[in-house]
Formats: sequence, structure tokens, C-alpha cells
Amino acid sequence: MFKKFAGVIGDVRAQYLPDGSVELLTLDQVSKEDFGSLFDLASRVTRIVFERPSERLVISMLTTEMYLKVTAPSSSYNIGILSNITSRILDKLRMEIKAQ
Amino acid sequence: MKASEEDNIIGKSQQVKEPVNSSDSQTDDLLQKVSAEMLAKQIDSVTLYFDDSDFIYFKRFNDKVKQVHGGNEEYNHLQRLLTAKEKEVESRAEDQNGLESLTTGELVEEGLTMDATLIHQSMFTPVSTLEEFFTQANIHFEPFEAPGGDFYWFKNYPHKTLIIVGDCTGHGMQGTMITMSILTLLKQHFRLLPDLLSKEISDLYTEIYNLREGSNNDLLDCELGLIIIDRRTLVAEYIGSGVNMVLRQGGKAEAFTSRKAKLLNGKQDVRNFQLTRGDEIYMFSDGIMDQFNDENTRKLGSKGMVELVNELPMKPKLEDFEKEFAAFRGHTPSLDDQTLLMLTI
Repeated sequence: MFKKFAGVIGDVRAQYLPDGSVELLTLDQVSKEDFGSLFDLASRVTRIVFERPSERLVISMLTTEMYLKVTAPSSSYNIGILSNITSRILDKLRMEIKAQ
Repeated sequence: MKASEEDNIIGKSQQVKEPVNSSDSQTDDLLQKVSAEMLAKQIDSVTLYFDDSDFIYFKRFNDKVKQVHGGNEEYNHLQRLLTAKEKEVESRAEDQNGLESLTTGELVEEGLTMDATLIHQSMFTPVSTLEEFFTQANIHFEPFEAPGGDFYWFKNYPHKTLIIVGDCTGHGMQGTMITMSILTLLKQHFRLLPDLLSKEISDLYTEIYNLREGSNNDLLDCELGLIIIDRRTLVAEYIGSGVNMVLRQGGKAEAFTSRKAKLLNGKQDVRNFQLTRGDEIYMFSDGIMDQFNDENTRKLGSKGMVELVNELPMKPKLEDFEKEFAAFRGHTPSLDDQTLLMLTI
């Protein structure tokens, strides 16, 4: 399902997050993430950000069926920058979806 | 840990604790659930964003989790949803326990009833989900013949919510089968936020009519009413093809009517309007408007619907509408599926 976005994901990862990771998840997959079930519980939850000692993580709703997960080491990014990068990636993906 | 690092952490906790922390005790369901997960997984902080506008922020201080920001409407709402979800899980467990005491014959019968109910219910998004945004959301659904051909459906996009009430051709099982086809197309068609509502609905009808191949080719059809609401600004748009709505603002009701023929000829305009908190939206299938009065001499019509809504008390409940509608209908039976979606902003 997400193969068509592989190019965009690869490009933005190389550009913004060389030491992080960018993944697209389905609703089922996101429900298995920490706190991911809140997306299903309350559709007004559009983004979940959390910090662990070693990493920072942003999960953001792209569509109600598609979620973007961005992970980066705590040492490289603060949470504001990571959120900003996530928004940029979302914009690129939305443009890609619209173009199809 | 070095003393300087420890001081730093204590310093941070003091910075946020005094002025903004609104809950130190793990008392409510939401805080308890978040606390348990954060402590078990050694997560330092969690922020939940709502439409990228409001947020709730939890932070762990050693073995305690505190809600640093979130004493807001979203927090209370999420809390209510969580409690409702837990009750639903408990209720399902109780139902399962009840089934275990039935005989084989009773189980088969129970299973068939449950199947029919599940198929019927699967067509509708639970009303409780709509209450995520609306102060109140209720559905009056009275099929002429079960399961029925009316439906409602909604979808949340970032910042916007689309709500659709539909009335498909036919009643009973035929109506349901057509509803399933139409819903499949709808869900595919509106998977992304529509740019131009009038074009999107016209395109949808083209897709529906392209599916017609048999001789009874007018069976696959429906009337629709669509509202899209910007949840940040409460600016709304309505367009329809026969499913009308009444909007009550400041105690005064106004009808928004539409016709499929006008829509298909490109003559049905989108109505734009500004909502405010407390406004009420009533979207309904033609079965409501076509209902005859107790004397069987006059249909309710859109004017009658406006009058009926004006009769309702402020902050009305579904029972208030149903009482007024029953008083109008008296003993005259309905002739069509009757669906009314009642939303309070």
C-alpha cells in the first residue's frame, strides 16, 4: 500500500533525518504503538509526541487510514525541530496524494 | 547521576510544577492510563495534539507522572471517551457470559439475530463518536421496513469534519444493499478532504450512475445531504440532493433545501454559513418531511419542519424532537424510512 510513497520517504529522510527513521503506518499498525490506540479512540487526536531517554518520536495523522511515524535520537534533535520536520514531511506526502 | 544533573532535573520540575500543574494525584482514568504506560515503558513525556491547535502534555518526574498542561475541554472529552470505551468492553464481556448459558438452538437463533443487527449497525458510525466534536449528537432512525435504506456517515479530516445523511432507493434489504454500494463509493470518493463540494458531489453521482448496467438501472440511486464544518473556525458549507437540513441559531430555525435535479444540472448552490456554539443542525431524509399529520391531510414539509424545530426547547434532546414529531404524526403510519441526525455544536 505504501510502496508508492517509498521514493518521497527516502528523499525526505535523507534530507532531514539522516540518523532518524520515517515510516508510514496503517491504523492497525499505529494502534500497536505506544499510545497509538488514542488515534482510534479520539479522531481529534492528530499528533502524539513522546520522549524517551534515547529517542524522540512523533506520530502524526496523514489520513484516517495512514499515519506517519518519525523517530530520531535525542542527542541530535530537540522536540520542536522534530515536530517541524514531521510537518514538512506531511505536507510533501499530502501533495503526493493530491497529485495522484 | 552527578549532583549538577540532579539539580537540573529538580529545577526543571519546579519550573513547571508550580504555575501550571493542575493535577498531582493520579485520580482520573486518563491520567492513570497514561501514567501506567509511561512508567512501564520509561517514557519521559507525552504530548497529545488536537487538530494541531490544543494539546495535553504529560511529564514523568521519577516515579510520578503529572499532567503539566491539559486542564481543557479536550482533556475532559478524552477522559469521557476513555470511560465510555471501558464500559463498552465490560458490557461486551457481560454479553459473552450471557451467551454461554444458552442451549444450542437458542444460540443459533441468537447468532442469526446478532448477525442481522451487526450488518445493520455496521452501516452507521456510532453516535458517541460524533460527540467527540459536537456537544450533542443523536440519531432518530425508524426504517419503514428493517434494516432500511437510510444512512448517515461522517469523516474527520485534519481541521474539518464531513457529515453525510443519505436516503437510498427502496426499503428493507434492498435499501440496505444499495446503501452498502453507495457507502463504498462514498468512502472511496471522500477519502481525502474535498476541495470543491459541489464538484465532488456531482462527480460522485457520475460514479454511481456509471455502475448502472442492468435493465432496472434506476434502482442504484440515492439522495444526499452533506455538511462540511471547519472545527477551528466553525465555518460550514451545505449542499444536498434531496436530503434537507434545518439550522437553528439563536432560537430561530431556517430551512436549507435542495433537489437532486438541480444538483445534476449544476444549479444547486453550496450554502456557506457561520456556526457558533449552541447552534443546532437537523439533517433528515424525505421520510420525515413526507410524514402526514394525524388527520392524514397534510405533510410536514420543510415549513412544518421549521415550525417543529422552533417549538423545541432550548438545548433540546432527541426525546424532545421525537415527542413533537409523534404529536404531529398521531396515528398516521409512516410511508418511508425516517432518519434525522440532530447535532448541537
